[in-house]
Amino acid sequence: MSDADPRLTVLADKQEIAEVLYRYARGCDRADEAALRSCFHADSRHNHGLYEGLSHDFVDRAMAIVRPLKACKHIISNMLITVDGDAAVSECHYWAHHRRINEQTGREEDYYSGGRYLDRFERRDGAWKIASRTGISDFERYDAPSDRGMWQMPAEKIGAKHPDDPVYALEASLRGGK
Amino acid sequence: MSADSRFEALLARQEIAELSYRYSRACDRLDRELLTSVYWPDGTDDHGAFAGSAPDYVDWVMGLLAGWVAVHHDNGNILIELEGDTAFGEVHWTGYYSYEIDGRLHDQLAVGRYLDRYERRSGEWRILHRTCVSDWSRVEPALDWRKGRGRLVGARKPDDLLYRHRQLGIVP
Repeated sequence: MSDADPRLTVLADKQEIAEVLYRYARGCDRADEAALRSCFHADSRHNHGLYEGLSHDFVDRAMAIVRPLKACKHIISNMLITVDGDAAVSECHYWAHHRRINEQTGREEDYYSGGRYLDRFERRDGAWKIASRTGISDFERYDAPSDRGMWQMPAEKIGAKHPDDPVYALEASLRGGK
Repeated sequence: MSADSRFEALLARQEIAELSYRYSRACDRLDRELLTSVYWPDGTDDHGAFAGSAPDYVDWVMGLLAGWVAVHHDNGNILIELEGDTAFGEVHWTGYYSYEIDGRLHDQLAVGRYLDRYERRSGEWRILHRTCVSDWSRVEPALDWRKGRGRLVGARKPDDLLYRHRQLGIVP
């Protein structure tokens, strides 16, 4: 790629960075610890909610939060990325939903959260990963859940955790696994 | 289509998509300069409640949003048709608005689409016309979750961490 149009290498870098951001969302939604961990360099720093420390320690906390959730969804959008050689800075939007147990009432609730990740990316050994992340909250909402609709559907039609969700079989099928 | 023209189309689509992301950042952070920069100076905007020139739209929307507690816009489903130095786009938006009604905090969740015409002048794409269409919306009372949450809560320019990170060279 060294003799390629520099505009195209930046475009390819942005695409690779976008897919790290999407993989983070999948890691949370499917409670896929390997996917989540693969987004961060070993020394990446994290500053999100009440947590400040190493990103890989944040992954431990995130897994403890998402594993028991009945449902979890993260949508990533609005990626504004600036690439400078092997470093990049990025702002993206997230929207998240957790169906969780309210610790005070013991009842289920829907928790919605919208915000942004301010990230520094670094390319090391050819791979773009997050080198530092700050999470900012713009929107939060808590509502009593409704059991109309999707929960009456067969279990295999409802999103599941790693490795049971159908996305893993689908990806394996392309690699000749199934 | 040659490889070169496919790459040029891909680059144009990326630039045009980033116009909407910068538009959203400008609205969410109340960044007048940034909002002005996504339109051509002779551009126009039709938001229903306001229709007119782009500079007048910027004045109108900055005034409206300044009265709200917080705004957050997500964009997706960006479909762009390129025709030389002109392009047409449909861009989905989801807006989360926090404001007071009779002294009580409410959340509005709204979704819709921007129907855009873009133009490339001297190699730069900007919005020439934007029409904002609403598809659905709901408003509900909200908890004041921001109270006591400290510095990791979104704010407006220049208080949002985005701008402080910029000074540190961490974020653009």
